[in-house]
Amino acid sequence: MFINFKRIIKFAGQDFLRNFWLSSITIIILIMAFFSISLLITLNIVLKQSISAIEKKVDISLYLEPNIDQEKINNLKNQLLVCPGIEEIKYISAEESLTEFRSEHQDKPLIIESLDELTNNPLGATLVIKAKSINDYFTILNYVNNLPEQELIQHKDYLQHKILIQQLNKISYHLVYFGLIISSIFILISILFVFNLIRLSIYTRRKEIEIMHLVGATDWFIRLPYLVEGLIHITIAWIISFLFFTLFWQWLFPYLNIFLEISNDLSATAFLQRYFGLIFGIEILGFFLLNILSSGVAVDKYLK
Amino acid sequence: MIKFSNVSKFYYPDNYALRDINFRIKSGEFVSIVGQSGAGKSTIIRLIIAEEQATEGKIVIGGWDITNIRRRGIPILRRQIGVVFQDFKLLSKRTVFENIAFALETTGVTTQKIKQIVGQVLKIVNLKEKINRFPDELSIGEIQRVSIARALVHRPKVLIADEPTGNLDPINAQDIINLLKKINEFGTTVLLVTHNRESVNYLKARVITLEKGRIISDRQQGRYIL
Repeated sequence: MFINFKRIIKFAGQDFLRNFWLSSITIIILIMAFFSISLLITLNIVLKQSISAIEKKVDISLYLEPNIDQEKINNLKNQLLVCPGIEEIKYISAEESLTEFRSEHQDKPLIIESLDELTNNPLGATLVIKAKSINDYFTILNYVNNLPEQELIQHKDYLQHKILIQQLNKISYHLVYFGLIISSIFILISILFVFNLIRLSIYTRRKEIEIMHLVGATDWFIRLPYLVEGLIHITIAWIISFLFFTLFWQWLFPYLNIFLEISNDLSATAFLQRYFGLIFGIEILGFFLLNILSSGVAVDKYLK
Repeated sequence: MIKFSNVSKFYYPDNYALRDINFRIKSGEFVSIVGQSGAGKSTIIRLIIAEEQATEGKIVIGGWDITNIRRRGIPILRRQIGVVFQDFKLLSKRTVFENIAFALETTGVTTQKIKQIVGQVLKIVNLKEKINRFPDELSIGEIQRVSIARALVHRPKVLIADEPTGNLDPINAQDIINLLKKINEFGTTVLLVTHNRESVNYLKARVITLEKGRIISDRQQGRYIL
């Protein structure tokens, strides 16, 4: 059993070296396939993250009347928390609102002077509502508009977000959907290409398969070296593709981050580490399975 | 050793390659199967090595009924039968040693034993000095002898030679026939499929003659009658 195992590995290695040029071309094509798929998967992740980042910036602010009792504010907050679509509600006190307002308008001396003239804080507290998902905002808006405590609310800051929310919903859905379709088509093309490449490689060795069959080798003994050789091709291609992709990503990531604001606290390397399984793990497993399937189909043709 | 009982082989839609074939080959016999192209000679070989299955009848090899042999039994059967082909079927990127050892490596024989056996069979076919050559460095007669050596590694009970001299000149052809005779003298049953008249008449062994899928003659010390 162990001798057979060693022999299978030996045959696979010998075939790899004896057909070096074919092996090299196979590896190059696999590298291209891996790189393209890695790029597609990564861009899909980036797209979803940037959409998510934009969505997180969207909120509804309820500017309350000044000088309201804290008890009434707490009551209002508790009523709002009952609404199922609300993720969290951030309370900004009147004092914090004033400080923020001063900070935002510090380059407008007229406004600051006017504020200095006032003895009381003209601003009330603010409740900043964040939804669980972008689709929940309209439910929340309806809920807010139907609250009995409308007199506590001076102003609802959502109108200027309304269009943004609607557009974002539409774009997000279409982009992700479109991205998935393109990725799926490309992955399918890669699979078919690699499938036929493996079959072609085995076709060139059909004489060997025939002879092995004639001298009394079992079907599995015939199949396994081709399977192992395919795994060697895939592993080498994956490693090289991974190295290339890492370098490419190191270069691309800063530019993408500027435009799409993927992450403020993740470096390019950390990003790849976090999504390693999703980007690289699944693709190598997928190609291993593809190799098993296509080798099996191709060799079986000559075993019959 | 080999027994065919009422064996027929039919290819859809209307082609009978063999019809009602009956013969029995004893252990240690040398039998020539002759006939024109399309007579059914190669079909008989394919049935013996279980490359195909008979449509009707029964085939027994060394006491084993292989008529409906299962797929996993075929490798075991083929290790008991050595086959030599007209087109040699050697691997061009492997040396003589590796081509012969290949047949043993597929069956889990140790490296030490392989070296021993390959040396022995190369001695039988008189090619020990060419052990590290590649097939394209050999003459055509030598290539066929390597092919025979490979067929002998499992010490088969039966050696089948399918037109072994088809691609050879008369001198090399005679060498191969003599080699087959020598192997037969060691006790191996030899089945020679050929349409080489001179070889058949030279051997003066049993001759089974086929025509259009039927046996028309089966004679001890026969001659080529077609």
